[in-house]
Amino acid sequence: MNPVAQVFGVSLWLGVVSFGGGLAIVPEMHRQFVESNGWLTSVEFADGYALAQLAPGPNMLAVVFYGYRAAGLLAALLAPIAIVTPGATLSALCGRAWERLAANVWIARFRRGLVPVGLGLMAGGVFVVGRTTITSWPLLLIAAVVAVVVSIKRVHPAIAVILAGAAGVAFHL
Amino acid sequence: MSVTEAPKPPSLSAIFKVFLAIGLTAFGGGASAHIHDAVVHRKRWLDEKRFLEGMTVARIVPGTNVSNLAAFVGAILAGYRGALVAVLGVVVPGLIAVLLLAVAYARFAEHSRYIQLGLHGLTAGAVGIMASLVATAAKPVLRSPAGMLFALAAFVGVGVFELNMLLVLVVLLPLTSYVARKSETTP
Repeated sequence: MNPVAQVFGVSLWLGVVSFGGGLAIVPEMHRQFVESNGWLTSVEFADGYALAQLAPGPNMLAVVFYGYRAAGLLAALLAPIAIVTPGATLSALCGRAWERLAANVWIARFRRGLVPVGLGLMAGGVFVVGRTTITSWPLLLIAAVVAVVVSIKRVHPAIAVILAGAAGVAFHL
Repeated sequence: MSVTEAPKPPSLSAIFKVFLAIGLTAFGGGASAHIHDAVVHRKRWLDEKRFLEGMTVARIVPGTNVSNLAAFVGAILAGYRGALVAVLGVVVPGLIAVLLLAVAYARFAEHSRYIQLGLHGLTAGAVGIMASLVATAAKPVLRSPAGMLFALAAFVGVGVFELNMLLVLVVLLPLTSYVARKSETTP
């Protein structure tokens, strides 16, 4: 099959199963782009995720980077469309018909049930990216400092990531 | 509860402009708060209750919260075309930015030792930000032993064993929704 079509299909799949938010989809993205299809190395995957932090908008736009590495410009443009469309379509439908849906108690249960699963998936995302990128103690220190500073001081995430990059250059990590 | 609806629905270009401004400026996952500020407070297009419904929908439907919320709000304001322009507004600026970074990466990253060193620090920083997001999401779960168990199961499934995510969801979501039903008597 045409590689662009393959990337599109995988991205559409990611859009359908991505319950729990942007970070929750990272393990499945890794599995698809790195493990199953071999379009990227683990290092490229982590680099792409980090670079996406420098851009505005949702983090899953890392898929633009992955699509580009996998099959070029067209795949880079189609992948985010495919990943956004299923959820956006459902949300728009809900916007038109929410009154009826809101009365369904199972929707409320599903929403609360999704919280712990989403947490586990997000933690999986940190693990999948961290495993290939945190290769030394100083890098672990940087990650820990960024986590604490961003949580407590409300530092802009893009600035924290750029400073972390500068530290990498300055200290030859 | 809806006492007054907006008198006149906004035009498609007005919706696009508001969401484009959010798409250009929302870094690091804070876009839902920006949408809230713009749509409920500044423009008064939606009331608080309707917006919170949108937040709920954006979370339970697959996909990222930001684009889902944009689609929900856009659809209420101007139907499916409203949803389309709102989603394009929040996604396109970041899409172009990531594309430029991907092209630059392909051209320069493999040849420069300094860029590689920078990327090492950059990815460590990204992992730190991801960890802070997990810490925030963990707070409501830590109160419930069942919730922690489900979170651990999901983590081990996708993180350690790299299982197909659909498999993990199909097994866990019915169980966890059922447990949520049992806890309904307690506030």
